[in-house]
Amino acid sequence: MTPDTLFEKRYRQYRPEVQNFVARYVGNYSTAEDITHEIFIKVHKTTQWESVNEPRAYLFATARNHLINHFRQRANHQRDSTIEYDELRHGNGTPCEEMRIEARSDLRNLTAAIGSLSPRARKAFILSRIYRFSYSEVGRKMGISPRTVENHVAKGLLTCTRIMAEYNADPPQVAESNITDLVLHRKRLK
Amino acid sequence: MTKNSKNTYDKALIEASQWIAREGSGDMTSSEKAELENWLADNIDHQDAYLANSKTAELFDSISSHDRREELRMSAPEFNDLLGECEDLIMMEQVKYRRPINSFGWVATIAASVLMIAVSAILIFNGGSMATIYQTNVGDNETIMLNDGSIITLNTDTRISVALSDTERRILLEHGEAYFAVAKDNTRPFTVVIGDDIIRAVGTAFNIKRREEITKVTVTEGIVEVKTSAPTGASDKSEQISAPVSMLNVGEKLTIDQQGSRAIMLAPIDLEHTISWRTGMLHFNGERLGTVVREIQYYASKEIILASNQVSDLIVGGSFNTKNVTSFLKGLELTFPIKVIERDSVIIISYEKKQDDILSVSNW
Repeated sequence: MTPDTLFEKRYRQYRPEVQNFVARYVGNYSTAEDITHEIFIKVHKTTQWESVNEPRAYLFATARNHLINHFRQRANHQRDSTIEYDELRHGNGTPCEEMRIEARSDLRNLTAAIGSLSPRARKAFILSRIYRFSYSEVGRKMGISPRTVENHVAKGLLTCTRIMAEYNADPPQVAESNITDLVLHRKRLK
Repeated sequence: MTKNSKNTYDKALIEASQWIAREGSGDMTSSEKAELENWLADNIDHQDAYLANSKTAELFDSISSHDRREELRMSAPEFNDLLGECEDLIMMEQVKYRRPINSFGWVATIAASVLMIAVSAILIFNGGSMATIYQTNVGDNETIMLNDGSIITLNTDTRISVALSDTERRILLEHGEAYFAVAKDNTRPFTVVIGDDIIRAVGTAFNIKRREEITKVTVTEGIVEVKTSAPTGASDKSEQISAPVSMLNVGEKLTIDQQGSRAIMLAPIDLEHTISWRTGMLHFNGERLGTVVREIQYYASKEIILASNQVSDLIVGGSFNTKNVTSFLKGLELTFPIKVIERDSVIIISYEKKQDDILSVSNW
């Protein structure tokens, strides 16, 4: 069996599962698809499939790593996300209705979570995460230290994450038929 | 999930939220970064907890762009209330007045002779070969580079005169809007004159928008001093002399109108949007359609007519490509109860109730 065919086999076998896992953390469907492809390609480039005893566990470990790197890079370039959003919006018009509905339930959950914080934590969190003031700017406005702002932000993130986790207990599943041609995707990446 | 593993995961969630908040400070030390790596490598719970919190952080990123935020404020009352609580902190007044004393010799001189400056400005700008006039047509914008290396971008329908001498660089903004990126030159102060108001930059970048009786100065780099004329009604000359000098820092916007002047601190994203006209984009932030139309009229060669007060009172928001006024208005037609009709020389916006209102934002 040539490595490519084993790769294709593993891909067909595990891709829906891996993509569901990715989609749990990446809201956008096409991003989840891209990241899943990247994960498989990464494994393919760095590993001999024949030598992997537990391909599933190995894939998931790679997926976690890859996602963590994805988020850490995003965190370092926070401003880029706005630009992407604006391009998306002006490129393709308004986002589709399906996305809007999902975004609305997310927004409702986040609003409720922030509302449950103490008034000071709430304000610090909103100024930092929605208006993107730096911790020291927020601290100056509120008369508290940047470190206290950071603690408020952590509390806010935690509260929201817990509520989102409860709400999204059943993440959407990727249907077999949604799998696009990997060869095409690899060409696109080049 | 057993009770024990649930507790472990919850502890991981708490720690992960602290790590992500730490990352958001932008001043993580290298040992903290290494510590985070180790923490992540520890076990899968840590990784999943980090991912779950990252997802939350990213959701907030996605709603923190100016447009998206304002769109959501309009559609989600609870969200709007939440943000409303912070308005006083965001709009916190940061005006710093400085008395015109000797350490600001040039200010004292100017303040003492407002009339003289008006006269000399005319002499410089209209009289000699020293002054150069730059002008843009409706809908255009243009970037010019001065001899000293300063760069000025003119927005739609803008006219400035530039006079460079050995002792000063003086710009008269007659009308319109311009962005100034000033080359440092301590021997020649860079000043912009708008009517009786004088804006002086110290190697810096700033935006000035002049609309009828209202002038807005926004600083994107460095420090800018603004000397405003006394409010109207103060005919007493002594009051003019003691007119305040505002010192503006990065992110501050000074509005000067007949009531006087007020400075506010802009959120970083709003600051970006103040100067996004340079790339052909305008952003509106939950404003009356009447106000929006008054602004976009500066970019449109056709007259835009609002058929009724009902239309001009609609609250709208969104992004607008300055090269395409009509498509922006047509876009509004999709979400608001209005009808946009374009003719040879006018665009008419009238009120029209939509048949299909089920997607109306008020259903949220």
